[in-house]
Amino acid sequence: MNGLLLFGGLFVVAYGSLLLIALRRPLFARIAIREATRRPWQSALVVAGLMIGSGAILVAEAIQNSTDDSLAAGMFQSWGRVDLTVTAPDNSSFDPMVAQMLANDPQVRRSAAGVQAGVELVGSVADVDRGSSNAFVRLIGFDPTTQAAFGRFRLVDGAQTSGENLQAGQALIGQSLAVALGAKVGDHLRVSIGQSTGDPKTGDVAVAGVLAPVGPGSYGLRPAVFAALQTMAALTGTSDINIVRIAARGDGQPELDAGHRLVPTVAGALRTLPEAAQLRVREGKADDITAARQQQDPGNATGGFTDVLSIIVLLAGLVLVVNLMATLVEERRPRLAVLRALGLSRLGLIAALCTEGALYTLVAAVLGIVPGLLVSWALVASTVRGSGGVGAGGGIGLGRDLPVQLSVRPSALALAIAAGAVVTLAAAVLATVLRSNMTIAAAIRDLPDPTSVNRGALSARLRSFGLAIGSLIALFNPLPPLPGGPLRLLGGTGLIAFAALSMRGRMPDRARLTAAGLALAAWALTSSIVSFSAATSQAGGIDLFIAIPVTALGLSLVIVSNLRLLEWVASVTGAASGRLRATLRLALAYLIRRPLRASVTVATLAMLLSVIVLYNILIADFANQTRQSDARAPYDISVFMPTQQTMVLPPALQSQVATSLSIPTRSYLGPVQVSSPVGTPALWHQERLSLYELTPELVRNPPMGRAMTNRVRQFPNDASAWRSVQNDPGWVFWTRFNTDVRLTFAGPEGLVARSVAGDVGDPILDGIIGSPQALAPFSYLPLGTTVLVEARPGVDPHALAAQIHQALLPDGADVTAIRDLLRQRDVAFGLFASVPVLFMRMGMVIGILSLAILALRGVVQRRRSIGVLRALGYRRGEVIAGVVTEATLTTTCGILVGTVTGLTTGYLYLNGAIAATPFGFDVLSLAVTLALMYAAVLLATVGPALAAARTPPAQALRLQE
Amino acid sequence: MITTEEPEVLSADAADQAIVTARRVRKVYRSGTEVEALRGVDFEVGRGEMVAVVGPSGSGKTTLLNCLSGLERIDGGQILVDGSDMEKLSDNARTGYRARHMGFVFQAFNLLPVLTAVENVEIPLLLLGQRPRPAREQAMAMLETLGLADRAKHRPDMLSGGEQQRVAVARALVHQPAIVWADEPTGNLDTEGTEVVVELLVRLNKEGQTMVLVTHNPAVAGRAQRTVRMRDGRIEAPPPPARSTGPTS
Repeated sequence: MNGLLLFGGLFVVAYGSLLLIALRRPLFARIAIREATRRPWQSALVVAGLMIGSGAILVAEAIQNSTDDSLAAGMFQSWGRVDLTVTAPDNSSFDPMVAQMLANDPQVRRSAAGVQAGVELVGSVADVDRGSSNAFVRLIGFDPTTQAAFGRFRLVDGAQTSGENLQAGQALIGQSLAVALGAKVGDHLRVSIGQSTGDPKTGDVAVAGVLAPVGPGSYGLRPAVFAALQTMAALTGTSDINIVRIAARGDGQPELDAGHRLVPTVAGALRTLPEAAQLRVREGKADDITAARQQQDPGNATGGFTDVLSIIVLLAGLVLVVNLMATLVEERRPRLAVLRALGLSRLGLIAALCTEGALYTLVAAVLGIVPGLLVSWALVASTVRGSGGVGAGGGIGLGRDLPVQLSVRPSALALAIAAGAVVTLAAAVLATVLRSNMTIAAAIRDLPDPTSVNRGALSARLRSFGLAIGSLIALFNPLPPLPGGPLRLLGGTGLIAFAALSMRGRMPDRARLTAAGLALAAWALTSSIVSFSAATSQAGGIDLFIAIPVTALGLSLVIVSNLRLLEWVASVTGAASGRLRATLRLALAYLIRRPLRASVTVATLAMLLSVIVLYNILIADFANQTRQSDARAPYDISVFMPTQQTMVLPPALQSQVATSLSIPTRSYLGPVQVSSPVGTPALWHQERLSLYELTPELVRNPPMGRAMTNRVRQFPNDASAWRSVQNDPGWVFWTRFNTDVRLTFAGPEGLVARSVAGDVGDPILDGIIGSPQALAPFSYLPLGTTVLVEARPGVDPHALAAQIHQALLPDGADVTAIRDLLRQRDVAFGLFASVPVLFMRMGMVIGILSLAILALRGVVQRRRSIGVLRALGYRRGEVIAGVVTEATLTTTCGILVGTVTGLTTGYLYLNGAIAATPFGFDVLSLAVTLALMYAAVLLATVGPALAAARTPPAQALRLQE
Repeated sequence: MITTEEPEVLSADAADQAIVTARRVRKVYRSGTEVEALRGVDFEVGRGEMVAVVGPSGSGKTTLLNCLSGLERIDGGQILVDGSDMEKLSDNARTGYRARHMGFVFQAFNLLPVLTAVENVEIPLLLLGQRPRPAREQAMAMLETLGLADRAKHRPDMLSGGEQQRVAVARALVHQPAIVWADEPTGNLDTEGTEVVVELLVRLNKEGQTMVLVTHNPAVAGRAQRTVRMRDGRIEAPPPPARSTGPTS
């Protein structure tokens, strides 16, 4: 909302001012409208280029809105009509009379829509008839007499029920469980409920119906068995309940508000009940929804991640805008010079151009919404799925099938239009200011500005002085709250720019720009080495995203200012073909003519490509690490028995097992808070986590080895991290490691906080690994076992897994071949890693579009020159080749610089920030990207090239605008 | 936009003095090598005078005109226009001065292609802050004077070369400037068009308009009251003493 206020305000001020100018100076408005409507197709191209502003901003906003709303919608669906819950801290049972008394409390009855006694447990389920099982199933007991207030269950055949017709021993099952088990109505299910102390309770139920995933049938969004309290009592051996569900009145946000208001009423009523002294009220639905919304907060690492990618794409777009507007101003230079000669001041000229720019940017900002929505639609699904598992917020949706929806709020549309218009207008103003400085007499005749001896006007000197002072301040960073590394990098960059500006005219341009480029690249890379070796991975990430554009710009300057060396190539080829030499020379000449602008264009392409290369390296690094660690993994099969402490196999199977490792495991399903200093403190939300006990045997022989994928920097090596987790109950390992993450759980004795020391890169033990002391507060949870099995040589792990599954079916065991687990992990990572690559490819489309637009504007601008060339004997093919060669040269430079930048920064980052030694990248994937780039550039520039070739020479020579 | 910074106010007898005085004007272009385009030029234009500057290509004619009119800065010497030292004025002040007191005619006409003839002509008036309606009336009157009333609503690409240049002349004169600068005003015209435009310029000069024109065409130069010949950045013959002249009879 702050962004909307800021950009909305800027929008009103900027466009209001320009409207005022247009009203006071109708001449400006007249010229602007006439220029814009004179050549509609060309104006349309300009607008198309400017659409990137609102488009890119909308994409970032839409992804946030969609993730936010999808997760929130998932939470609404998960909780259904249940707003408040009353439970004991350790989830223990209590007298069902509590529910009855609450329902009878006059104040509660007045405010609540329904009160229901319930049971919620976790257990395993085996379908005896199908020979299938599921190790983690929610067992939900409900009271059919009060179910109506919470909505009627809808069966997949369309029938509806509140459960009143269920017989004793019958249960309804959720659709996801039915699919997982292959269960049908009438099947017999063996249900095991784990106990904290040992032997599980088991019992059978018959499937009376399969629930559609709507209304109360999707409660929890996990595989579930829904049984009447009577049936549940038969399974648990007690008629006590462990939860009271309360529904507030209303729907959506009003319902949440009503639930919030209901909390003190319920708490007050509980205080009057002696049996309820230990019970507490929780706003489960509101907490989960708030946590889901906060997951995408800009301060959150996941939200920030998409923001950074959008900023990179937006930067590329802004370069396009500046280039486009600069080309537009240059194209009209003679006409603008006439206005200057007639008495229009430079400020007036800028105002006139900005009035026209305002027309383009406003139309483009509105129209940019359409491509923005299309790209968002394409990106949303993968982003939502990708961020669910890896976000620092803690993967709220992990393990659940959340509906993914494209969601764009009106505020996001308004922000995209306002910010897109303001940002592109600012870029247009910048281009106008830069290009409006002209020698009138030369510009009128469309000649280059002569170099004057009156160099170094006071204003220019003041600007340079300001740049130097600002850079020095940034370099020495007297403001400690600001991050030192990025500021130092920017400060040094500013000083190099200052030095390069100061040397203008004192040394040859080629040498000056080459020196400046080398200095920029060297500074950026050196700063990166220092930052990466000293910072946490996230702080190093900020440096990385600054170092990449600076390095790319530096190398682009070097390569563009030395393109003349390619003349040598031209001369060699010229020996064979004079015409080829002439064609190459012209393309080179146009590129070299404005080295700075050409460098910026090259750097933009390079920046996008280097991020692709960087991600390619990171993905390859991940694949490499996982390959190595997978190779170390001695086990073949993972068996999870949620209710058993030992695995007993028939002798026939026992003989196929070489070794096995048993790990005591408990499943936590309850409120969790994941906080990280780099993100906003997360709120409480429901989470299912497996808690693995670090036994001496597990310490000696961890399934994926002792090498860690990531660890907190305070541990100098993996061994010290392992020692801390073994000896200090405050530390645990977690598969979803993120820098300095702290987990807080709700335990029976109060809150339990644990710091995450690192990630052992173990997809087999997917959860928290802690010492017995660290997990002691969770001893009230049912105790199960995870058994890792190594098959004897020659035994097929998949076949053995199937046999073990069959043998342990009554225990509801989950049996998986570890190779399948590793494959699932790779697929999940690939999905997550595809998001930034998709973003960068979107940026590439913009970069290539910009090349096409610039090629077209170049053709328009150079029509007279093309006419001269045609008159001199250039054939159409050579004109086409010249235009295409120019774009291809730019692309080649961008590819060279981008690849070098990506490889260098990637190498430095890997060896500095995350302490990983292997280095490699997927050459084939990069080659495909580059081939696509070339193809797209050729495709995009062939149109303008044909237009240039079609221009009749005589007409082009006569051309007088 | 016109700035409010005004040059020095003319003295009472300024009208009797030269309207343009250039003393030892130097202009150097630096683009790799140094080229001295004007080498200490002394030059004067009397009020109401029509001066033709002639000379071979590269002799500095256009540079002289650009410097005198304030389109370019000089590297040495002094230029006084109506007593104001152009070099001491800021860019904004010079811009404002041009808008109020100068008119320009270019070889390539340089009309704005997106505007009609009358809209082109009214530009200087609008830049001076005049209201749209009187500006339009004044521009129409000027076009009528030049015989272009029926072409007022046409865009430049619908006019002949001669007509375009007459519109350019109308644009140069519409705000009644003290001096009109014309750089090769007939350079892009055929004989008939040249004749029409030259006649027009001569007629306007007879009505009191001060003009300085750069030309290659001896016939055009011959219609001026005085001809200044340039070569290698210098004026070949010393200029005649400044005098107040009336319109050519």
